[in-house]
Amino acid sequence: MVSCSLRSSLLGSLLLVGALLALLAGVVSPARVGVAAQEATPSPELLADVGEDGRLTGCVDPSFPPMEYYEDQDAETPIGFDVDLVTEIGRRLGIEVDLVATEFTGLLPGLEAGRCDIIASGIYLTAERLQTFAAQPYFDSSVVLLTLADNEEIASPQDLSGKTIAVQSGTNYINIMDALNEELRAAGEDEVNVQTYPRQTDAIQQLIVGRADATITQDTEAAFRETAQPGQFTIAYTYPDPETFGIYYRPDATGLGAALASTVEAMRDDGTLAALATTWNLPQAGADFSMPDFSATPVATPAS
Amino acid sequence: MQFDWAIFQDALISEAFARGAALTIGVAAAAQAAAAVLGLGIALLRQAPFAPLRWFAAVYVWLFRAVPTLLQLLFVWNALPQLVPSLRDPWFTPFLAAFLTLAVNESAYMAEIIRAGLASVDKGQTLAGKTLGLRGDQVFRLIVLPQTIRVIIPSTGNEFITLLKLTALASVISLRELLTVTSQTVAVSFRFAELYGAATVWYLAIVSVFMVLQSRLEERYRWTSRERTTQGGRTVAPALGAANR
Repeated sequence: MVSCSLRSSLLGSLLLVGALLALLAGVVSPARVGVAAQEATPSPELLADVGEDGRLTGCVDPSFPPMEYYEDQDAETPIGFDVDLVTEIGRRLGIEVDLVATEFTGLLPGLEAGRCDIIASGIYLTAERLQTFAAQPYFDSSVVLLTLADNEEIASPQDLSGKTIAVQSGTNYINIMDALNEELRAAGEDEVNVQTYPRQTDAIQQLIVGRADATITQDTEAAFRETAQPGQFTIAYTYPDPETFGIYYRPDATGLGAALASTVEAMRDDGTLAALATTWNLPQAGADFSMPDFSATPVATPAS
Repeated sequence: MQFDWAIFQDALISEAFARGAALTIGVAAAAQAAAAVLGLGIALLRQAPFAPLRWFAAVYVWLFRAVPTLLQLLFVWNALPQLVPSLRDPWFTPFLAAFLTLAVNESAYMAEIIRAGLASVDKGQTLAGKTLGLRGDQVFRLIVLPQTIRVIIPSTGNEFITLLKLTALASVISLRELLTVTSQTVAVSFRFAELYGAATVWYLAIVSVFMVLQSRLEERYRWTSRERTTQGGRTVAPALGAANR
């Protein structure tokens, strides 16, 4: 009968597809760098520090590619170096991770208020922040001046005198610009016209619009711009003394702090961090992070 | 962290906060004044005998009420320079851009408020004015406009208070008004409660002063005599003049 043979050929096809899928699943396994995938169990100290939901809540401001950003306007979850970092940390600690998108100026208030357990959002370690929060360093990064590719006038911060610079508000870059303006004022030169914008992407937009002559940002951002829009921007100047990105957490969360320290250091030692850097076009040298010595640097005065 | 009164007080009287507040008030007051004048013009155009003028006014009100204020600010700051390159230069400051955008945006709302105010003045007033021998523009200036103003003062007050807070949107075009300064100071020192508290006190102070000014203005436009006669426990205003019949 026709139906009999149809049924058996259908069954045969299904078996074949099933076998192929099983084969593929065995071959295409998710890439794991370095450490063999182990199901770790979170320590009681760690669980005590992440609140009643038993999940690690990480807050990010997804407007800082390649650390964290939305791939396109339809994307619902952010991607990036920090996203991968926090996911890997969660996997190694055996704890589920929730990522919450928050605006930059609301990140550290959110940590203090308990809405977030950790902040891994391309924020670097400063003496003032460490007075209020604890942090685990994870990546070194330099501050750079970014200009349009055809720039020939700006080769050092002093060249910014009399020009306009766009900066993300609430960042340490404003302190750097204020210090530069004090220097210029003392030398009797024109000050830099500093314009502050809510997001780094807004500041870069002012470069494109032509209103700003430069923006000040991390080499991470510059590297990403080079990938996304090759040839449009150039790094005009790299500041010496790289800063270090840190995962911020509340100082009383000692269990969480210990867990972060051991995990991040393991990731550095087994090459996971360097590999993650390469994935995101970041300089591999940054993976060799170090905890900055703040006893040597004077505490920067808040922008007035 | 304990609430630190010293930090709160320092922020309250700090130069940064004062400058931010001055910018907020400056932009809002300038924009409101310009909006009132523009809005009056548009409201009168809505009644113009020449049809294309009426259409222009209708489209103006429709356009600037429909597009969100934030989008208008971003458009003026980022998109217009592509059409008019000189808008990139430092002379086009965030203050100027915010003033122009907020003035035009607000004028659409003011046009509707003033239109309602004009409609509330009885047609008999205009007729009476003409009977007294006044010219059209005199009738408007001396009789209709003052009565319109009296009616629209509360609504305009509302709009101004809203505008004061709307200036915070101008942070996207790098205007460092009060709320932006607060956020930036918080980002450096993390004393959220103290700094947000100081900003709140500033806003309360500004709006309170304005509310007192508004009630003084309403008093000025209330044309009843200050003396009152009491009749059997009820307070009654004395007979009003001919203009108010």
